[in-house]
Amino acid sequence: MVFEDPAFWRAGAISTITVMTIVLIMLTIDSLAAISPGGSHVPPYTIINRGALLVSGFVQAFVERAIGGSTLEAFISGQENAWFVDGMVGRFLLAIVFTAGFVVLVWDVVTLGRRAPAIAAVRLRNERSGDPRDRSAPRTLRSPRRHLGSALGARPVSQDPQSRALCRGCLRTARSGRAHHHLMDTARLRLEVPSRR
Amino acid sequence: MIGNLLNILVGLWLAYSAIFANPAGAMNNVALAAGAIAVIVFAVWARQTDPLRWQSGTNIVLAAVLLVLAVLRWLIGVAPLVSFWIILLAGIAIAIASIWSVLYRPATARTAASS
Repeated sequence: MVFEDPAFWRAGAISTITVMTIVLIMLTIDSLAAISPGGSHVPPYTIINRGALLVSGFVQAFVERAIGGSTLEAFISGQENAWFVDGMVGRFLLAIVFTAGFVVLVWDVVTLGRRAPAIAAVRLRNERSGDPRDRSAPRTLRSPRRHLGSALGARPVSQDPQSRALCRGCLRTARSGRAHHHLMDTARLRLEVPSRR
Repeated sequence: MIGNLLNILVGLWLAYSAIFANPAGAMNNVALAAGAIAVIVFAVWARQTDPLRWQSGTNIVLAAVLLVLAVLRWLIGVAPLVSFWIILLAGIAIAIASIWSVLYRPATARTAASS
């Protein structure tokens, strides 16, 4: 029976894949022509740029047309209109806020490695001092309520003798740990901490 | 064999004509009828040597459908969208069946050839 022959179905699969690949290439070429500017589905850039971009673009187009219709003079006058200028100023201010947030984000990521050895050093110190509490997290992270109160202004961390001593100890231990290892290898510290338990 | 190879080209040309016509599916009616007749002729030719006959039979039926479509377009007119799908699917099916017929040889023939 021909339907039980694998070669029959193999030939069918090859033929189907071949033809459909060719047809798919044709359809892709046709779709690319349709979705490019000026194609059957996308108007040309000269129309898009006339007010279809962003809200300010709409305002600009409306103001222009109210001033003098779709003319070059109205286009120039629309640039000086208060609505358009306010929109540009607001956009500039938001751009500054966005840029500042991005800079903070990048700085936080870049300095991540500098903070991680200090946390690992706190764990080491707790281990050496025989602290019976949970050693999986540093002490500063194990008492969130007290530090939350400090953060809210109840008592600043700098005025909290226990926290100050702890912070000094953290930094000292971190410094000595770095000097001991001669490098800031976070991954190495993380590997060594469980092995010393 | 040669008839099947020619039918592959005709089937792909039908799909190409359906896709790239403006609007899609509005291909030339004379070209459509000529393509359908060519498919019938090549399928009958390929039928003489094909190990399986259902591929060429399928091609003949599909070509007859395309011929009927051409006649209907000439007589009463058919929407381009309807024509597009009929021509595209018929062209694809003709090409697939033809390649299938070219590639496949029954197991008995292959065994006899190898022994």
